[in-house]
Amino acid sequence: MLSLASNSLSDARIAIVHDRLTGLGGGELFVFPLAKHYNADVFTARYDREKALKLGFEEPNVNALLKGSPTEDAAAQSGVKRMQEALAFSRLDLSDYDAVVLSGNWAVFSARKNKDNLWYCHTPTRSIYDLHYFYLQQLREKSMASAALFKAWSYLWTPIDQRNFSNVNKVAVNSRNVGLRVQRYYGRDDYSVINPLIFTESFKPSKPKGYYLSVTRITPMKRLDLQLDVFEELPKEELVIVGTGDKGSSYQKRFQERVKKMHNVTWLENVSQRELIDLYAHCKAVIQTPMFEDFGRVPVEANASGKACLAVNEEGMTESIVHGKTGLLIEQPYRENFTKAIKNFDSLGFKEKDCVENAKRFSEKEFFKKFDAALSSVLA
Amino acid sequence: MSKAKPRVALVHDRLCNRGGGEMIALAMAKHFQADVFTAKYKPENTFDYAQKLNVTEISPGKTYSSEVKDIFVRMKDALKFAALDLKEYDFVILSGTYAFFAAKKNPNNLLYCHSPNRFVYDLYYPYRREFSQSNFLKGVAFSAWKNFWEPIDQAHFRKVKNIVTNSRNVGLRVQRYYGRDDYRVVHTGIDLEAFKAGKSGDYFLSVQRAMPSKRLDLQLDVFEELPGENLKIVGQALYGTKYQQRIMKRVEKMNNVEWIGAASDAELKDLYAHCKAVIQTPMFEDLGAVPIEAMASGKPCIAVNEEGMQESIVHGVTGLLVDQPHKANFVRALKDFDSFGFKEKNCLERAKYFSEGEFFKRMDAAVKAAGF
Repeated sequence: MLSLASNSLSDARIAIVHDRLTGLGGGELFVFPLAKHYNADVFTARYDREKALKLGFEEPNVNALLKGSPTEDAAAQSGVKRMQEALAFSRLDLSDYDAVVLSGNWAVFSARKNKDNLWYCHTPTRSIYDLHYFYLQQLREKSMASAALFKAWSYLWTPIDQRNFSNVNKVAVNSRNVGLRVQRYYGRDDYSVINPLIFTESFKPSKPKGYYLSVTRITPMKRLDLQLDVFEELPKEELVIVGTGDKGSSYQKRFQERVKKMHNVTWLENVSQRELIDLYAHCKAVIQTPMFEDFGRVPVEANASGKACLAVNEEGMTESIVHGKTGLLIEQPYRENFTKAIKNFDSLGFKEKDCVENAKRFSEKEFFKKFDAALSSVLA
Repeated sequence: MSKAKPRVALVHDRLCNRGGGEMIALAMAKHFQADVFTAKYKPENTFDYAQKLNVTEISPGKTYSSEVKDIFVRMKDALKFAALDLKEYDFVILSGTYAFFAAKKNPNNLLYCHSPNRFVYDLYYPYRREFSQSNFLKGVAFSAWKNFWEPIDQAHFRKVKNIVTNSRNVGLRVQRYYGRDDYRVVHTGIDLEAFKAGKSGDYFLSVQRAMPSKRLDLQLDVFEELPGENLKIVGQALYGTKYQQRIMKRVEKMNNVEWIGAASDAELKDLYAHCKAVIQTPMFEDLGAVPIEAMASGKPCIAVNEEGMQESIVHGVTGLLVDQPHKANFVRALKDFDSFGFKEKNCLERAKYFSEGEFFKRMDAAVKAAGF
């Protein structure tokens, strides 16, 4: 079908390219509502339809570039499969569309053939850029060989990634923080900041029941040991941790064993969205300890539930939390300062109203207002 | 029971210019009555105070004005630092990107970290882009050097025992690049007496070295758009670069911008005292001495909202943190400048936290915490 050049957003034909839709939630949460809003077609490397539909979003027109439903096991994440995906993305020709939204660090391979693109950057690839040394250290603890392999891979991948980026037309980032990463690693500062799509209206405040809540993946960079250390020191306080991790990883095993020995910490692995909303609604406050978070949606969800968020004073966390009003940004040494903050929590006097008000800054409406503007700049 | 005064050594990269790092190193040497060890010492080019100290030059020889050539000299210096044996001292304060190699033979050490090596870590990509643009091979050589030097740097950093950082921002860099979060933040201090408040004149002031990472082009773009406003630029070029020549040519064509170049302490004091406000546009500054000097002169600082700048400037009270380094954002801030109603009192008050006295108090606490 021939497409007519169109300057107005309402009748533009839009395609969305996203890395993978495997039913884990993160991708679908962003892509499906976006596709619905712009009546867009979705292109992705692999699509697990059954799992994705369970998440309860309206399904857009999704085109999987590669056959075979993806599983999140190690084999599916193997380099060979990732290369296949990269190749498929780089061949994708979407000249029928007026604008192409790229989401993810693999989808950005499609920038080459589709010049009218907007890259919505969740973050530049963390393993080669901002968390490179963290990954390297983790691998070095395992074996020198895997660390060396990782180094070699990053030498190879960095120029490919840089070249991909040179094909990007317009850039949007999910936070000021990620904007600074784009500035540092790619040398572009003409990005627009569009905080991620969060359905703040689906969270409701309710009466606190006395436990602290931590919503996080179970991986080393989320610093779960720190959380357990703190609650070991506070045996009378209760912590509920919600999150999944890499199944069978030694980190997860070690974490699980530590939790088992603690009577005041509970780990919930599989929690539905409805249960999560409930957990947020009744907690005392939310705890966040991620290392250099991109943006961090958890503090916003906490605020939308009328709850304060106690978080490390690092990067993305500083953008959603208003220190002293809707949470605390905690300085080093973390262990001491988190313990102190939780001990004194009641005297801090956080107000439900302030938290709910703060969450409104990140509403769906705000998101689409800014996204409309960014997309229009591609069509112009 | 009184203890004998501890014998302290201070190791600093170089004493060859009047930068913020040299100022802090000399202040620490004065405070701890330390003997100073440095790779290169040029008394005529650094602060006069150095001449009152016992300074040992451990790697005398030529330095180069070209950054690339100089890197080889720096590496040689680093090896000299790594071989430095200071066992006769009770503890050793390390200050500098290559000086910390002296941790190798001196386990009783405390690093005052100005920043991890910016060429290797946080500014690697901006430098890489800059070098590649001037010459493709230069970019490749720079990458190769970085890949060679990085593991050596990492290995020596593991010998550092106590880490003190000049800002929260640099603390996060230590965490990111070296994976250590056992640092303590000791914000720097300056001699507030060296600055004075005065009646605001009709010009804005910007103070920095003439380097691409300071974004002088942005400042010129902004003042091109604002022909009614004046800008004075103070800046000693570290290296007589093409960049500086290009900037100076641009300035020549503009009648509202004045290139002052290197200024004496007295001149600088006056320039600060009578400006309207200070402009700062550095890329990812560690902490930034200039906003502190501005506040010590009772003047607000209008700066990019990046890293170190956020730690000294209180947005809306002692200056403005401008989101995204775009011309339009700065133009708007300068146009509306009078409406912000910055108060001299607030600036002077904020500067007190960064006084030398407060710095020494913080530093004493850090030394005590280290058990020295």
